[in-house]
Amino acid sequence: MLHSDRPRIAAFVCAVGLFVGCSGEPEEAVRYLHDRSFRRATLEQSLQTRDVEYARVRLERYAASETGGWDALPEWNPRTELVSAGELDVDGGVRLGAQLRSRSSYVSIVARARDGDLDALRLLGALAFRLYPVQLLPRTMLALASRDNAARYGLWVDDLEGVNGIVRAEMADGSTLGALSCAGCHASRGATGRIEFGRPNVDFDFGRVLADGAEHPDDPAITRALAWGAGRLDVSTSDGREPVRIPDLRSVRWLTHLQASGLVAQTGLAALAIRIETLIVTSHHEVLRPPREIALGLAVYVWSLADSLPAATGRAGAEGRGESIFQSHCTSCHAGPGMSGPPIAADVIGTDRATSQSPSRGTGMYRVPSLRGVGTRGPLLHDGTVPDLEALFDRARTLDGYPRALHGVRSIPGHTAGLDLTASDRRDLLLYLSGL
Amino acid sequence: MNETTNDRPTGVGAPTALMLGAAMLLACGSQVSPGDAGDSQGGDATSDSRTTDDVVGDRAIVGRVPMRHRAAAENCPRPPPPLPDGGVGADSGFVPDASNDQCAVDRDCTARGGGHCVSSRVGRICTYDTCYADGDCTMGACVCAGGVLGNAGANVCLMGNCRVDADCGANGYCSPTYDTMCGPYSGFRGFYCHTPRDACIDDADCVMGTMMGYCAFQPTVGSWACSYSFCAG
Repeated sequence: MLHSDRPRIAAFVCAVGLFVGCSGEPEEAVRYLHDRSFRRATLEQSLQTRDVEYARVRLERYAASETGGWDALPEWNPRTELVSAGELDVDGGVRLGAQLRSRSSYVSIVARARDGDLDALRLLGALAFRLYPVQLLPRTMLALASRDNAARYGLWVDDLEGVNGIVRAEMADGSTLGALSCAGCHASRGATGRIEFGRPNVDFDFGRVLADGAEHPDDPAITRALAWGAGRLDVSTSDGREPVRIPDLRSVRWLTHLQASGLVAQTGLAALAIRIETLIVTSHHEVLRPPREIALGLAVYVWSLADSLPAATGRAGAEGRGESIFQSHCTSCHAGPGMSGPPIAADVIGTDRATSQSPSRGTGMYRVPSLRGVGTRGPLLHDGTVPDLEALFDRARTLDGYPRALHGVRSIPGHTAGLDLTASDRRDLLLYLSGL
Repeated sequence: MNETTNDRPTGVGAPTALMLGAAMLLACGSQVSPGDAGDSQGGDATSDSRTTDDVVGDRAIVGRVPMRHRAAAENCPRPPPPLPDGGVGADSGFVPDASNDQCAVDRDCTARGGGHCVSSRVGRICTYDTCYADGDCTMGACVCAGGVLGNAGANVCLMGNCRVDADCGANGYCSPTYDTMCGPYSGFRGFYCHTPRDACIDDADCVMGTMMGYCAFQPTVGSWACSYSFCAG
């Protein structure tokens, strides 16, 4: 059911070329901002199947007409402000409903961004990544009652960047509610001690945040949300059955397809912008839409994150040997500078099939992740069941009772590439991958 | 905040929960009137003959009265005064142990008045009333424990922009809403007036393919619309 490879190959080449001179991007940006028929065509081209709920809803409502569907929704760009780390030290903790400070502001959209200027859009996206409210939160959260509580729920706290990407946002009646920005799930503290954006928030236990407000501990949906565990959540169903790992956004530029099932071909910058725009529409229950400059800015910014990742080639010594082993064993799937490639059938890769068969987003396939950044990504595979690279290449994981399996899995089948390497080759390969 | 409810729809199971909720409305006699049942127990008997004024979306809901709305305020029962022997006579025999349970029955909750012993993820815990009438709430409405909104714990103040239908103007309705994060995980969170811009009146208006949603107040735009419980992603 997957469409022709041509668009995704073109996108792949263009993705690699962005910021080093791919001349089509500014034009694409302008067309995304101002040309509904282009947006519609891009959506239709990017969706790899029309037979799942995610696709059906978008095909019915996105860029379908000037006067109806999601195009007619009001743009929403509320005043927001970061929740600051110091608020956790106040008696009672963070008050998400507190009045906005006078210096709080909108994510400002400058004229150059409206004209499709990529630099302006990237700066706009960097701001929106931290400040634009994507997911409303409960009015009160135990996780925000103190620094200790924040740590228990896996929230990062930072004097400069605030508390886990949480913002206060102004509602229609002037009151405020708490919300997660993109940084809530897609930022975490790196080896340097600084918050790194795009890096998955592997410690964040959002299921526990949801469950805490619930009255009935035995409700199956609550039980499932609790079982998601840190670094995972269900974005596809309403009852928590399909948790997936929070993805690493730093390598999105290198992906041919988006989502774990590869449902959306990243045919270009506009395809990613549409993915982000529609994500925000649905997370806000289809009552509003983000300004397109913000969605596009986020897309440009996310693509720019790839620049922060180490180079894939040119290693020496044991790492160099690992690079050679990678070239001979792994590049049939993880190819090119992005170390990625087209989706692969779930039956072929052999990992847990549930997400590939999702009624909401399943394609029967799994996206091939980019390995750029894999050394600092955290748990691996789409469901986050493999704790690290060491475990991925541990033959014992395919057997029942594998003790390092995460989220209660007894064995982790599939992705058998590399399991038959000698001990020394495995060591060199791990060294190389860990440095990416 | 310890406001709690038990009438929480989840995914395709939502309609069942909501039907049960509707049945409770009819059976329990409460502050929240069963709009289309023509019976406003505890509320304004005339309220249910009113209708909504506006066409809502493209659905035929003109004339509909919300299934859940608050015609009149309700006073919650006050707890009995403490026993003169300091509670010894009321002792249930409960002894804290390694099970994490804080209590076995309500009278084990003695930290302050209005204690309720309820089940939670970490065992049976004590929750305490924060109100007995709307006047006890700085803002919002007082919802009774065990009432039709289903909070099994303590009486709680629910925020919002109304307490009763009359706060919403002539022919207005004040209804309870779920949170609008990614689903109704937390139960009812506040009371809000319906508006002419609403896209739904009741949960039954919210069906998308095989998915059953719920009608919730959307604070971002200040009106009611269907929610389908997905987390952002």
